[in-house]
Amino acid sequence: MKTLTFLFVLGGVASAAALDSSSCEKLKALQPGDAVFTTVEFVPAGPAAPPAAPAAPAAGAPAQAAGRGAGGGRGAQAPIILPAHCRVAATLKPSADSEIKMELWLPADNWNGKFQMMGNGGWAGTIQGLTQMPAALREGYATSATDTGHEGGNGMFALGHPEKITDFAWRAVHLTAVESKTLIKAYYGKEPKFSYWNGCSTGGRQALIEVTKFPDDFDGVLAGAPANPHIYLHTSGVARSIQLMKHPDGALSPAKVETLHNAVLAQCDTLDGVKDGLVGDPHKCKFDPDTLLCKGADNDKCLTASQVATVKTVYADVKTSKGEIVWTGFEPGGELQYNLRNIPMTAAGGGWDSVRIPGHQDADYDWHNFNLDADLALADKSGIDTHITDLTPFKKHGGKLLLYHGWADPAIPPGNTVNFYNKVLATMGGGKQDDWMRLYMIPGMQHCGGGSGTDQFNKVAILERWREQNQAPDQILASHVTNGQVDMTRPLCPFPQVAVYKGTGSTNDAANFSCKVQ
Amino acid sequence: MIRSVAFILCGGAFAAFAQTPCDKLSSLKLPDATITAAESVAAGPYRATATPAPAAAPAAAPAGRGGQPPAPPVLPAFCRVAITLTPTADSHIEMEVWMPAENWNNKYEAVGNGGWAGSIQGFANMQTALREGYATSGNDTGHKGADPVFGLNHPEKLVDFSYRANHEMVLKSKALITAFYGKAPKLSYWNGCSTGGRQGLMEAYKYPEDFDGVIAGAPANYQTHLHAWDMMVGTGVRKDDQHFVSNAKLTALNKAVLAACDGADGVKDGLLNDPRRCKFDPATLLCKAGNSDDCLTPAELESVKLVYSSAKKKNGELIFPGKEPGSETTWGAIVGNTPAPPMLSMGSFMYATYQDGNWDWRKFDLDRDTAAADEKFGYVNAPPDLAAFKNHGGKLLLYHGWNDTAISPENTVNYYESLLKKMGGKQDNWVRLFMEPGMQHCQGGPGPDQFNKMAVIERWRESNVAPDQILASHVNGNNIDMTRPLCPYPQVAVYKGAGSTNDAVNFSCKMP
Repeated sequence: MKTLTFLFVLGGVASAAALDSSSCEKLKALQPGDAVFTTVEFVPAGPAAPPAAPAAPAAGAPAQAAGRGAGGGRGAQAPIILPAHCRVAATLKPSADSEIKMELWLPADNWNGKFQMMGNGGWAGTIQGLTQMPAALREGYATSATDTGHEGGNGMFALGHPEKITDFAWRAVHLTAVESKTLIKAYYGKEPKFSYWNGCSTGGRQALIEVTKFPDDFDGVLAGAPANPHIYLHTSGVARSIQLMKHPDGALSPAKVETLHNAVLAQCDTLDGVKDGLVGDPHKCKFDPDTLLCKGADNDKCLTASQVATVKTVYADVKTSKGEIVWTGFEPGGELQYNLRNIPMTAAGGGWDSVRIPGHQDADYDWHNFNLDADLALADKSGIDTHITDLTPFKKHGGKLLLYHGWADPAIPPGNTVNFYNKVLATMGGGKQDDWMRLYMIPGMQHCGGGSGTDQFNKVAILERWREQNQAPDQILASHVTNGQVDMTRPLCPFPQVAVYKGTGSTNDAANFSCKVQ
Repeated sequence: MIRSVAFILCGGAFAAFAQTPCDKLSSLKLPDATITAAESVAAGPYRATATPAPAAAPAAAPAGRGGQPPAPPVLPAFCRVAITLTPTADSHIEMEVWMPAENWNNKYEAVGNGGWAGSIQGFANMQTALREGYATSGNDTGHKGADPVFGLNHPEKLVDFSYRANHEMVLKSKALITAFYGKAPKLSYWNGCSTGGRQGLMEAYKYPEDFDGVIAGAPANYQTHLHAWDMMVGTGVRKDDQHFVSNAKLTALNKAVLAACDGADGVKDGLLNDPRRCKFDPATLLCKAGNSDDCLTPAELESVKLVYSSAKKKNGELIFPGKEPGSETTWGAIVGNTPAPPMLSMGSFMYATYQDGNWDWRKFDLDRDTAAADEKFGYVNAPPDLAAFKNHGGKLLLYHGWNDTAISPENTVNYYESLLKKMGGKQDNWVRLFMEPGMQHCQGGPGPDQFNKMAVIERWRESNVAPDQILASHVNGNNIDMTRPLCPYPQVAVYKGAGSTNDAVNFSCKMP
């Protein structure tokens, strides 16, 4: 309906030539019913304005980099020069209580005919995708992102606002995608040939929601380190945290964390044939923390019984009283980043918000009353998550799903993504789904990027070759960068394959590894 | 090699195959050498015990897998040996050998210098090599400080700089490695750029058995001709103050070049696949109404044309080519307003050739002074005669950035083509040249400049997998924002027509 209207209004604007400021201005006339344009402006080529500082990041929930490895400025970067584009900022109001902010950038020249949408991190609350949109725009994409309908990187917006919960859960992303496509068609006179989703962390969850609820929105979906199901991730984190808080004497000093990490590496680093500080497949690492128990006096090279218990808790799956896994434990290898020091997780902005706000609708809910089984079930009723593992509609749409997760992720334990992948395979009948879905587990990578593993690869380019040229990623070349220098390349392998050293040549060069099932 | 080591150790056949503990290496007798340190260094953050570089030394020419990690680097346990070499009475060559205490990969990697050397500039590359399991060494080429004044009245030091220091270092390094591990390195590699590139070619030419593989980046070879071009331009832009060109104007010039030529290779990316094909006429930028940052005065135009042009003898014979279109943004060091040409370039004439600290650069005469430098100092140049290196089974990996404004990249194309001319057209089983669009001197610039050079040459030499293309990355901050294949010359990377132009997979190597 809307699309038809727009076409009618713009009439003959559609042409292959460059679009100028007047084409951008014309979009103003297309005021859609349930949205308000706050800005429609033609931005000439030039240096990008620095993105507005995101709202105070909530504890443990930074904006997550996705895509080609934009890591939020870990090093000095040259200023980004943006090509000329039409910038649309809009507020969507699908319900009386909704206030969804979105931005869409439309390249004036050399549009590649495609749409790329960026995801969020943590509790969202700002248009975090603005940090990735410049890279997409430079490559010729029309690109957009949303704040998911509230301000601030915590769960307080959900108190008394069920419609805003719906916006955060799925509606903001879906409507931003729909609105973006409509505007793209109005601006260029044709629909995008292909539409891609690019998200990690909460952006990974948004990816999976889109794939299950709106399988026609995207032709290719990148789902990195999915925080999915959101309520399960947060509630399991709270359960683990409370377990640790009960034993304050179990905290590990930084020196002891290092002792633990070194012991893990001593036992498991070379299981993959290469001594490189990376545990190739942490599930093969059967490290027993009891081996570090102090025999004599307490010192930095051993752990007390309470500290051993802490370590076991961090590695352990969080389970309901019936023994069902709510979320997997942290994997051996990433100890230097794991919370082994009993930092309370009941502060605002963390997982605790999921329990007290979408769950109890009570900001003062006392954590002493926390009960995993009951609180999980209650919070899940908020409807933030789908628990769907049948992705047949997306597959039928011709969609490609590329999942990735760092084995050393200290924010979202990665085993859950392996389990999700296996559940999809089980649901959809048999193991052979690799013509449309693949999972890449990345040794040594932390949350969405960073760490000692090879975390950088051109995700969108890989997904495109798969979707558009039918070249499935049998392996992906990934790089690690230190101080501006590439110091390691490795292949990433489709799960359950792993990168195996061929036995000769540099272990820092991908060409000396091959993907194999071990 | 083994025989001479056995002799040196004085212990006969047994000693040659026995391992010598690190701290006992200092008692090793090496000809014309004094071991000043032999110490086991524990794994961990490494702080050099001696200050390696005098203040005046230039930054090490980056070679190999990248530049310097932040201090202090974390290194595996190793045996560090520092040696002073005195092959002549006037020589004083300082070198270091680092040998991993564990997990030696049975190989040796020597690293090169930059400019006039004058310190062990290879320390950063030695750290990388050590971490990967190589025994590795570097030296200062026999003098202290980057100033070429060391050559004044020290002919033997000029020989040390030109070729002797490196070769002596290789002999001593191999002897120490053999003593420490009880066996000689299985394979030896050279890894250098700029002066390090020249050193690599010199080794392959003069001491073809020293190395099994040589990586020669942006070789400063022929050094006398390189510096003759520098002097031609250096004097040309100093006719008067009107001939200097500001950075703002260079930026405008670069923009105009890219507007004219960037799209010619099928991808608009700020890179020229082969800048020689760019027929941009800088005269189109002549100021029409008044001077501004966007145009060139006639005097500035003259300077710009001079930088693009080759240095030629009066008889038309090429001495050294000029800089390439697309590289203009880093011409400041060439056409910027400074009182005299750089000492780096003057040194080959002032000290090495004429032995005269009062030599007047204003009187530079291209034909006369180039001929004199070739006659007196020509031994610094490595001619393209590598039959012996080829017969030894050596592999030579040449690379050069098209945006290099310190050493004109076309010179390396010429060197490569003169090799083919001498040895026959089909030599790609042992020598390949990779010209890198947009790369500046040894690294940097808008083009993908990072690739694992050692891994490439090793696969070629050890597994017989020749580099038909090399994956290279461009890093912005700490993020890779472009990958491209590097192609063996004369092939270039051609966009396949679909997919991201920042992803190497969407390009293939083809004849232009």
